[in-house]
Amino acid sequence: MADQTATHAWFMRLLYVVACGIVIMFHLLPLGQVAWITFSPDLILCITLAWVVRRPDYAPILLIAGVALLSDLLLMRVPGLWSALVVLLANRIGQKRHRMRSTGFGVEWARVSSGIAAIFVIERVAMSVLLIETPPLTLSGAQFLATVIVYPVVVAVTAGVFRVRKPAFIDTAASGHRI
Amino acid sequence: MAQDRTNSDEYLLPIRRLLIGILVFCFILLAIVWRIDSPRVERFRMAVIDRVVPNMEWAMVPVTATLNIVRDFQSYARIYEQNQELRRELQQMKAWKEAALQLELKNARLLDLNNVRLDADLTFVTGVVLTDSGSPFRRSVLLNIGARDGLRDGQAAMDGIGLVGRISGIGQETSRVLLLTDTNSRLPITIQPSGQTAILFGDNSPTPVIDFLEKPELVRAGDRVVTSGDGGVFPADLLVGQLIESREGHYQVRLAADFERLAFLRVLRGVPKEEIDEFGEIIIFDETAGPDG
Repeated sequence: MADQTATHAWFMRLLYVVACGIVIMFHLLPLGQVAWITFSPDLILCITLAWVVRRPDYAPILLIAGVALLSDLLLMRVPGLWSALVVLLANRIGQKRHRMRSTGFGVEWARVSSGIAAIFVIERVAMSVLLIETPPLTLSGAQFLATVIVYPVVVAVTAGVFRVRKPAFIDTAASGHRI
Repeated sequence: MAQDRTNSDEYLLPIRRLLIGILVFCFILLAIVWRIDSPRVERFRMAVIDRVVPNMEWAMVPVTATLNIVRDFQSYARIYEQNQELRRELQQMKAWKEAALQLELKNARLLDLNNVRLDADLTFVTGVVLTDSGSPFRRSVLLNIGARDGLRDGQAAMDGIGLVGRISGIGQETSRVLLLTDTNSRLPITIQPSGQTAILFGDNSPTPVIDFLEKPELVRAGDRVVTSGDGGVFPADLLVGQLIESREGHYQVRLAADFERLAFLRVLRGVPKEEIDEFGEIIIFDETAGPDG
């Protein structure tokens, strides 16, 4: 796959937006007070990080910011707080992804999990500083664990179904420089 | 291997850092503005939801229908017992319907006799529930009626049987209903038949708790709970539910409305009442005279 056309890149970006849109839609379905909603993992975060580790050109930072802000507004969170942390984490993981290229999935999982833990903690601290009511710690902890456990599944789907894999040495992006 | 950064990467890096810095700064600014001036940002949020969600409706409706069918499937196992239960309930309902019709006739005759004028502005408009709140900590639903249907903040929303919540957040075509089970919901109630007033606090559970009850010994589990109309915000005498007592002895309310299956909600439109803020010149204050008169 040495030859990626520009339309393919835009198609994959659209696919990223659609995938996140479907996740938001499932959160909004009027099903009443379903018990699994309380522990549901943050799938948008998982999808974003899985894509950023593999092909960051398919999930440019502006698109990630836009999707994160939309999810903040639609899912009734504090607007802007979670989006800022997601943008920072996605950028950092994107910068460090070169080191994860040759090591196995375990290292990637560990790095991503520590990143997610960091932003969960920073979000709680920021909410306490701003004197916003935080959800109970056990619930946040359960959500964090669910997110971490679901991450390998999301990676499997990304690699298998969407075919977003780590690029080979000779791959070039549509703009011509090496990925 | 050496760091594989090409020349163009090094050129782009400061711009990328600047862009990310600006984005993060803007987001944090938005969070702080939300904390300072929440209504403005909430109006912005409602405007975004107003634009985005109705377009998603075509995708959500079939999925919701399928998931509801799957949920109902589980009850098909007891279909015979359900049928019997429903027949019995139907008989009871028919008896109540007769009693209600008789009472209505009697009431109309008595009112007519006394020339009493009832509040004609308790009209309502019905809307369909579009989405849930999407968050486990905020219990609210989105309706497909909004400002263009005459809705205003604070109006009461009921389903067919009981009170469901209040309107908090209006767009042009959508509006958000804060449910009674949300932690921010406070409702002044009256407990029949003792007539005691109390406040209903939502606490994210299916049975909200009651507080500020003056004489707990006068109420019993099973008492009817209705709105009291205190503060003039909600109409009075809307059915809320039944009083129950938890194992620790706290009083909670089992809500009459079916919160699991909210489909159609009625929003009661009321005209704001005239406020009396003058004395009507009964007491005349003499401002020029001193303390001796």
